[in-house]
Amino acid sequence: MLKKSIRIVAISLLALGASFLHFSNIFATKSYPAQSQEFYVNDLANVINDDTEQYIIDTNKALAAQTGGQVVVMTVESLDGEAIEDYAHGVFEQYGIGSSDKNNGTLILLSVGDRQSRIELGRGTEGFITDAGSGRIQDNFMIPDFKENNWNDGLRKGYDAILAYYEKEYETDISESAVEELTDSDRTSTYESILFFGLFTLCFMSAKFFKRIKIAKTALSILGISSTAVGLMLSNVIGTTVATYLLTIGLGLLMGIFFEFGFIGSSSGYHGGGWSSGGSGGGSHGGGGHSSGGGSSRSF
Amino acid sequence: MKLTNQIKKGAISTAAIILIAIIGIVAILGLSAVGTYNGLVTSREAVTTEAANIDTYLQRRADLIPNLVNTVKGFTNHENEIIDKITSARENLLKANTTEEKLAANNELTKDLNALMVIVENYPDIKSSENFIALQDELSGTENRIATARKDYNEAAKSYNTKLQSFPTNIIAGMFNFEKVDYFEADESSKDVPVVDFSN
Repeated sequence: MLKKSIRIVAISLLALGASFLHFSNIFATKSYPAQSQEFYVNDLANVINDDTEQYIIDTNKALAAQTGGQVVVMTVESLDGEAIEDYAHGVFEQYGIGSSDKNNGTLILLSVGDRQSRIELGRGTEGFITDAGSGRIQDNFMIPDFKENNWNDGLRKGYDAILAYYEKEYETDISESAVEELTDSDRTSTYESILFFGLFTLCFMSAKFFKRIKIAKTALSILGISSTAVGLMLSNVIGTTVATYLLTIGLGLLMGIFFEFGFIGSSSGYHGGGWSSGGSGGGSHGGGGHSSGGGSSRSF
Repeated sequence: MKLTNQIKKGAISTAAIILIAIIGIVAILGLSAVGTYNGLVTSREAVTTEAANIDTYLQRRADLIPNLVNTVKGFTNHENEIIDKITSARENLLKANTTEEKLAANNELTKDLNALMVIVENYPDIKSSENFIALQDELSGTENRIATARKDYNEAAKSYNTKLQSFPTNIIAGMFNFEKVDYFEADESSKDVPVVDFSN
């Protein structure tokens, strides 16, 4: 009776824990359009031609590989009444443009309906482009075309001008043939995944081994249940890192005790990707860069 | 004999289970208490950092004013009234002690700067001067950073204050004297960041 109820509690916690790990990323508020698969071009107003789009994506991949920098171009039909500064900042933070340690991202935002544009600079970018620099880029390269509704040309010239600032800052030449490398943030999340996977396997294997001893099995189940429960319920208090460790230990123990090997193949399958923040195959994603709200805006 | 042995064996293993479980639960509670304390320290530190950010940007804004004033003076001698107002608003900002006072002084400065932008409409030379445009970009960029930093500060303060009051964190918070922090209310009039307009 007791054994059965412990088992039921453990399995429901496992399910809860698994869903928590999977969906914890979704808790972040997302009120702006989701990023495109290509990430670097988000052409919601549909004004960028295929050639420019491919050019922006290719050069960005080289830029990200060499410097960690990312220059995202976004066009929208309307800002829905929001100030362009707030909209650009919201998108920048949601996408995490630029690498997380250098914060060297840039966002070019054009609202065709509002006839406004903005260049939003990451905390690391504002040092070498500056607010005034971003204003000059718009005045000299973008606004003349925007006034004539030549959206594609203005964006491409503005993008090239920004790219030139990056090339100068990092003393590099962005060629399309650049070999893509792992960025620092990618490496960190790989290490983290390996660490968690190791911890999980350790707990899992020891639980599997000790569950033959009845006392140990009961003690380990209680331990597993309590650390999973604490990890789940107090995650906002004790910090996500500690909570994730507790969850890893708890889930490892519980799985080791309650699941037979046939089951494991599939359940540990989700594990590898559980904690890395969504390194999806094919497309690109933000490096986790932040902006402090620097940059400049224009109406035309 | 056999029966007593069984009872004895059962008693020992029950005691062992309870003991191991208690040790485990105490260990977990201890770990989460440490985590709670560290979490509170981290989020209080975040509040302090955000407040420091606001101060940095306010200082930056004050530093830009003399350049702006000189640029305008280079074109005209007829607008001394507004220039004096801006200069004294800047001095008030530099004299202010707390972040709250500085923000209030900054709101005054913003009003005077907006008044200057209206006046500058009458001077096409100033308006199209590259130096003036650059300064205006820097000023509104800094103003936007102040707004962003204030928002970030309030968010950090809210998450810290919420943590402080929720159970069981409030027990740890009470033991180590963690105190609530104030919010910085936004002045609605200062939210209108001037946009350089090329439509005319």
